[in-house]
Parts: sequence; structure tokens; C-alpha cells
Amino acid sequence: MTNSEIIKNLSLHLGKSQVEIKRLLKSSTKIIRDTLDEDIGVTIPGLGTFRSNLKKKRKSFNPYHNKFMLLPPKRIIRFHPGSSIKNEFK
Amino acid sequence: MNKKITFSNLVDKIAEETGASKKLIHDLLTETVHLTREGLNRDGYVNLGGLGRFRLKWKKARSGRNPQTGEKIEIPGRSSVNFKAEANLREYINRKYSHLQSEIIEGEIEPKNTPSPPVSKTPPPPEIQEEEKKRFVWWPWLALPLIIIILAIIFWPSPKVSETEIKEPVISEKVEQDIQIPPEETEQPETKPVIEEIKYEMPGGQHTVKPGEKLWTISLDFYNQGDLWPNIYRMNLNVIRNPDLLLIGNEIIIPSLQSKPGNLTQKDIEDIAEGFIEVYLAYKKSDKRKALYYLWVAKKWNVNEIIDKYSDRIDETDLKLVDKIKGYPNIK
Repeated sequence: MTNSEIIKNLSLHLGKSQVEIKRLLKSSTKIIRDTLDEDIGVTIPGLGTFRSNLKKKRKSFNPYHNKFMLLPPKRIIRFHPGSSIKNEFK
Repeated sequence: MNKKITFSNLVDKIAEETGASKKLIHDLLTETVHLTREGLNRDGYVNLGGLGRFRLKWKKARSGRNPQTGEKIEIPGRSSVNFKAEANLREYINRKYSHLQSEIIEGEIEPKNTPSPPVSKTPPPPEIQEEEKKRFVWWPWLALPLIIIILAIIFWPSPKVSETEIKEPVISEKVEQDIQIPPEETEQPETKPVIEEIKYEMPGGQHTVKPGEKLWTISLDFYNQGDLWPNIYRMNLNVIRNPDLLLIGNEIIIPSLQSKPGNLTQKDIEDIAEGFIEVYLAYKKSDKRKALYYLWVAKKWNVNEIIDKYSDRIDETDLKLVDKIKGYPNIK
């Protein structure tokens, strides 16, 4: 399902215009993003938990250059599906 | 790290930011969750703008063990929900580290490649070089029959020589005139290696192109190896304009090789490398990728004289590009 389909369906279900729904979704994802940026997990019931983890710098083999490379640290976003969604798609 | 924001707190925050009622935001979020479940059921994927993409992934069945009893269990396959964050989100989260880049650590090479000798120092026949690079363990097995063959070649004529040597004194004692015969016999072992060389030679000749034939198939017929077709192309530059196109009835000269492919002599290698460079020149305007491939193969033969000979027709930028490519061609 694409983003536009979701917006269409939401505007039908909630009785709001698509522009309004877009605005609300945009600001809510922005807040989720900011909370993740502060290293705080976000739990949405029925879906699961989002967390941001820090990956330390590490040594890794690069097959193209045939050499070991030092990879810089980076943050990744992990999603843990909730128990209800896990059971639904077993 | 273990901190979590509760759903009600999240709803409060969003409501504050947007100015909408808490109930609306609550409904909005629960409804999106419903829709993502629906989408996952229907299509197997859902794109949420600004956040990322959810996808159902099938995890295969595998065998495991009960950690308490050590019993073998067959774990059935299942699908799980996989999430990948959007590029924008990843960039935003990583903006602190965006200036960092991965660096090459010098002096640490993979242990696999260390035993293989450098290319430029020793130029052994290309076949052995290849074998050493690809699977290092197997080359002694390949070298063993070669050594046996070499030993056989060295020692084969010797018993005949020794027989004649034994006969010589016997003959010389009886008749003095027979001494003239041994020098004739001693010449024979000298001529024998020449005969063996002719055996290895791949005979060339004339050939008329039949329907359905390509340079590759002709090379397969004559040399037992299709890769060497540039050697044929080299001799027929005035007949074949395009190496991809052969006309039926074309008279082609097939050059002979001094030795078998797989154990080529230096002269053969130079000839074949010349052929590859000619193919490079033919493809240079039409298909740059193909052209670079043939130039790369030609360089791999380690024939600098031939490349110097053609230096005014080979682009310098192409040579530099080809130098950067590592690995070996599949041609022996």
C-alpha cells in the first residue's frame, strides 16, 4: 500500500480533507523522528517499537579494494514488531 | 537508551504541535496502524511517508536444538514484519556523523591473497599463474603430471643413446669403417625434439566460411579453444571488417601456433596479444566496454613490446583505465 492510498483512506475514515491529513501525518512523523533522534524509543500499540541504536566504528573487509576498511560509527533505526502483529502474520 | 515514550505522551505532543484535538490524533494514529496491517495483508508492503517502508519477509524453516534437552527441533518457516527507514530519516539521524567517511587500512591484506606472488616479478606461463591465483591448493596436482611429462621427454631418448654408446666400442673393435655410422646415429636424438615440437603445433591453413560459423567456432575447430579467435582476426584484417560479422564464402587464413593453447610459447603469446589489440582497435569506436575488455586481456599477457608498437593507436586514458582493473581473464 502506498502513502497516497493511506492518505486517501484516512481522509475517508476521519472525514477530513487530504491536505489536512497530510499536514497532520507530516508533523507526527516529524515528532517521531525528533524523539528517535534523542535516543528515545517510540511505541505504537498494534504496530511495534521503533528504536535508534548506535553502531560503533568497526573494521570490515572490502572485497572491491581487497583491503580492510575502517567504517565510521552510525545510527540505525530498528523496528521490533509488536506481539499482536507478530501473531497475525505468522 | 532504554527510555521510551508512551503512546499518550506522543499523542499529546503531536496535538500540541499541530493544534488539533487529542482525539483526532489518537484516531489518526490508530487508523494508520489499521491501514498498515491491511496493506501488509493485501500487498505485503506498506510505504509510510517520512518514516519508511514495512515489508513482510519470509523466514525459511530451519533445524534447531532445544537448549535444555539438546533435542533436535524443526523450526517451521514464518513471515515477519521488516522495516527499513527512509533515506531522509537515516540522513537526519546520522547528521552528526555525516562528515566521516570509511578509510582504507593500509598494510592489512586478506590472508588468502598473501601467498600468491606478485604479477610483475616472475612471468611463469599464464596457465600456472592463473591457477595460483584462483585456487592455490590445486596447482601442485597440476604441476605433477607436467613434471612427469618433462622427465619422460628428457629420459626417453637416453636409453637409445646409451645402446648406441654400448654398441660403438663393439663395432670399433671389429671394423674401423663402421665408426662413421655412430655420428649419424647421435644426430637422431637432436632431431627428435624437433619432431615433438611439430606434434604440439596447432596446424593452420585456409578456411572458407560456412553458414552459421563465427570466429569463435572456427577457433574452436582449429585450436580447440574459442578464446583465441583474435589470433585469426589479426591475420585477416583486410577480409573481416567487423569481428562480429563474417560473410559466407570468405577465405580466411588461419595462422599456426608453435605450441598448444595452455602452454603457449613467447612468440605465440605475442601474436595473440597483437590479435587482441587489433580487436580493441576495431571495437574502439563502436563499443567502448568491449574494447576495454580486449585491451585489458592483451595487457595481461605481459607483452610490453607489442603495446609499445601500437602505442600511437592506443589511447593513453584507456591504458590507465585498464591498469586499475584487477583479476584475471578466463583465457589460458
